Amino acid sequence: MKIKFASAKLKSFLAVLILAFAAATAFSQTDAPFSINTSPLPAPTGAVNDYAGVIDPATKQQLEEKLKQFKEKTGVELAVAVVKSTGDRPIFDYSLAVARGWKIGSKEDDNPSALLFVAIDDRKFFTQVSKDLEDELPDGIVGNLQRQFLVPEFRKGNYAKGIADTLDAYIRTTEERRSGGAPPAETEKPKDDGPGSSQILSSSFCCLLIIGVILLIIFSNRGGKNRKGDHDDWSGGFGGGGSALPWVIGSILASGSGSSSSSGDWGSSSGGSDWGGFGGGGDFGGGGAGGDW
Amino acid sequence: MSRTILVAIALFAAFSLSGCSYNDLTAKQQGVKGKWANVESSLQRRADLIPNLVETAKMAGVQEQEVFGQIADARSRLLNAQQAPPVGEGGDKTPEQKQAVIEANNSFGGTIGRLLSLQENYPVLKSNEAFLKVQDELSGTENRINTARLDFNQSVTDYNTTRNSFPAVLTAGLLGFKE
Repeated sequence: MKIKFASAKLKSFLAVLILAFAAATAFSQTDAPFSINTSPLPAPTGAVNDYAGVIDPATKQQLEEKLKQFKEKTGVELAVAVVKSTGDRPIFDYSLAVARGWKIGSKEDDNPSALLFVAIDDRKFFTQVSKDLEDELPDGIVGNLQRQFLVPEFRKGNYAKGIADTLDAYIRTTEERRSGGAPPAETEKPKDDGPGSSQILSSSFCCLLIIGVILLIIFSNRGGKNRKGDHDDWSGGFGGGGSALPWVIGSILASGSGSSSSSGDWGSSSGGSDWGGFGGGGDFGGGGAGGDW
Repeated sequence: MSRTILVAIALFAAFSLSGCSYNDLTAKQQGVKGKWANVESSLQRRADLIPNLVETAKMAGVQEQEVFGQIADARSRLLNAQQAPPVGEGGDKTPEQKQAVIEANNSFGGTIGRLLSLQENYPVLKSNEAFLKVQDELSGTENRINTARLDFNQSVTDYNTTRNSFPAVLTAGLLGFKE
């Protein structure tokens, strides 16, 4: 009798399940608004990305090598992007979006990195400095170095040299400042876990919860009349009352399900270099300096 | 028998609670708090930097007591707004208090603009590396403020979207997650 009753109801639960699941997937897809977190440029092909054609291949090769060594030695990831123009967007916004979108810097908590960004036709430049490199390259120093090494060469049209000299200056300054002081303290920061593929899974879990609650009510109504104590205990837990057990279990389960989404492999199709892609950091808070020439 | 089923179902339902975006909501709520903290710290950073800029300008020969006075006033207003004891729930500032901070900050920004526009009257400032450096620091701070504000707004939108979308809205209603 009991079994029969359950299987009769099961069909309608199934319908609820399907409906709820459909609703969950439909509502969880929201359009991403304009953001300073998505790069307007295509995926990078190396540490040096020249979309304006002002850096000759020899210099590019040299720079790539130098930046790679510097990264291996110090963990600091430097990158270059040169474009013709940033269009309507201010260079600060644009370069921030590139730095964050490319996820320059390590994925670790300590992820010092910087992006030297130049818009040739706009005659503007900006260096984005990540939060963990601000001690070594504070805004004032960055601005000063750019005025010293970048602007004079750019005025003469020597873009490649200006960029190379500025990067040298950044490298020098970082090394000097690091050797002078203690290594930067590790700071605890909450990791941003982007909504991953686990979301849909979660939604279905939620549907199961709802179904579970309905089942619970029905079962306890039918069979629980002579065990009223039990019934009250459990429904009390779900009503937001006393029992802490569900929450404890829930949080234990969740700590497993919150796995971070990997940032994807870079297609290493770039011209013969073994560049492994940027580290996956992108922890830029607006530090750095810029100007024009 | 039916008791076992009951317990099993209840346990399973409890397990699936995490799926109801409870953790998602908590994480995003914390995210919003964190982003506001960034806004305040970048505002503080700017407030700390201004005396430097004023000092450097004075050293470079700028004599504008009126502008300096206005900056000092606006700065103390900002600091007052920021240091007001939070009266919102959970030790947070209320939306009104946050608005007050942002307004004080905006009028502060206006007075700094005046100081920077002095460069027109004092061409010597344009080639004064010390002044230029502090100016870089200052505009870097402005950038940080804007970035922190954008991030804050985005995290609020993100939280609200999650809170009001299907699986979470049930949890949120049940457990008192507010918009």
